[in-house]
Amino acid sequence: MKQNKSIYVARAMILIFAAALLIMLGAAPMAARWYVGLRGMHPQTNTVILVCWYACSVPAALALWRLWVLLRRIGGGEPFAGRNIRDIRHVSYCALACAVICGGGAVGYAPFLVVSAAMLFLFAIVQVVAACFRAAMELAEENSLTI
Amino acid sequence: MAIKVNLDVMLARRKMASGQLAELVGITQANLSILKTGKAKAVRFSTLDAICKALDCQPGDILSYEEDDDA
Repeated sequence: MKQNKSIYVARAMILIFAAALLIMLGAAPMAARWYVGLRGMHPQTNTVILVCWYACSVPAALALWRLWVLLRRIGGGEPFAGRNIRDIRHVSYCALACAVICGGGAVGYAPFLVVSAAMLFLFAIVQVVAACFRAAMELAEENSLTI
Repeated sequence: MAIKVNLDVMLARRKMASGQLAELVGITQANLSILKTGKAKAVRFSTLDAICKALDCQPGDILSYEEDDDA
């Protein structure tokens, strides 16, 4: 029951983030123009922010889709399948991609450096989670072959 | 793995079928097959106890150690 509850919560979070991503994709030009105007920044910063935003939305969407598929497999009783570890690694690579994009965007808008650092940290954490999953998978396999 | 499981030999000696042994031991036929084919990673003492009881034998009658060539 507890596992089902946490899976439902995770699924709800993914749907919320997916909806937020769609809204952001539509509202990005307006939001960026408003923000740049509010801070009195150079108009070129608007372009940098928009490019980074849209570029990061691709790995973000990929990560959300991978997480959705991963949750479906966990809910279906396959928590330690090899494909799950592959999906977790792909989510970490999406974070790495965002880190690289934001790192590049920091040239035009310095605060993106903070976002880049946060994404790099997330990449490291998810890699550790993937390693834990692999170890758990090996333990589960050994347990299933213990008669 | 160097540990060999010689269940087939004991089953033949006792004229017992695999299914019958599985039922007596309390494991599935699939798990017994994993044991017989050497794919098992470990055997619980409780399982070994039940097998020896069912086949009226010693653990040494069903388990042997043969060093691998590549060891």
